Amino acid sequence: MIKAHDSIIVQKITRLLIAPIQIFALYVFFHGHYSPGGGFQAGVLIGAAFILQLLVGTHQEVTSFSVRNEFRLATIGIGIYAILGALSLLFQSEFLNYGALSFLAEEEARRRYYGILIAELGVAFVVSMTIVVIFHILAFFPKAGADRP
Amino acid sequence: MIETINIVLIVFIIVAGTSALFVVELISATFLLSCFSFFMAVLWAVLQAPDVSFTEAMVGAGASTIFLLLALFGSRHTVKPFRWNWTATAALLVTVALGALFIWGSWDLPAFGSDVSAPNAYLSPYYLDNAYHDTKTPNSVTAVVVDYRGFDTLIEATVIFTAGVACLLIMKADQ
Repeated sequence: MIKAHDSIIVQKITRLLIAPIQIFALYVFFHGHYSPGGGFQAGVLIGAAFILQLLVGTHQEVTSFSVRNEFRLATIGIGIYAILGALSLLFQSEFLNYGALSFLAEEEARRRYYGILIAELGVAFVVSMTIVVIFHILAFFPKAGADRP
Repeated sequence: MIETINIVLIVFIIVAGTSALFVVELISATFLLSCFSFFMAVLWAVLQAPDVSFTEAMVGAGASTIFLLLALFGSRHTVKPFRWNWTATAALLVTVALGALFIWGSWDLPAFGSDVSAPNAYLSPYYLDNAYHDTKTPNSVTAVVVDYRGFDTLIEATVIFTAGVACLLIMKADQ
């Protein structure tokens, strides 16, 4: 079981860091088409922000996280990606061929552009929530570390 | 200049990787592995692969260090001093033989950055020429990873998801 750090300076500074990390994660996510980054990297950043929140949060904040909900969100992420792939089957094309998704945009290249964005959204969900699930399990289930010397 | 940076970075990587094997405390080994990942990230950036560098810096140097530390804090572990015996000698011989085999095999690989190797001859130029036209995405890495090779990425996401499932199952077995 992990407890918050004793020093109030560490706690306050960590709290200050959380919001900029989340903003940076959104920047990385939406600029994945133009600069290094994308769903995976943004997912790890969002996961890191949640981990910091879990580390310095009050008891009420920490208990508002639950492994069940985090796991659900991870499943939703993989669902977004897989359903997007399956949708293009409905539009009489290959699996994951975003160019066939005519409801996204007029031009075929634009459809691929938005298809990539939606797929990256799924990847970001999966990566961030899986990281938080693993952290949550390792850090907050007391039985794991109960009998250590 | 770039060559010097490469050599310095590779020396740092080798030192960090080997000293992680030899330090006694596992926490020190974890931080040395974190250093290893950080130098790898810098090396990727020098080799002009910013996407890989970004991922290595966050997953290798950040997230995996946190997980290793948590696993160390949450588990009971003892460190035995290393003693040289015949098993260690056999392991050393096998490792040296395997390494020699890899180095021998690497002679047949095309030179680094060669323009006649299979991926550089037709695959990369195709992606670089057509990625913007096909997907309107200036960063061709994103286009390759999520569109041209979308199936790969879907399965990669499933692999990460499986790691979470495995963690949950272990927790359930513990309760």
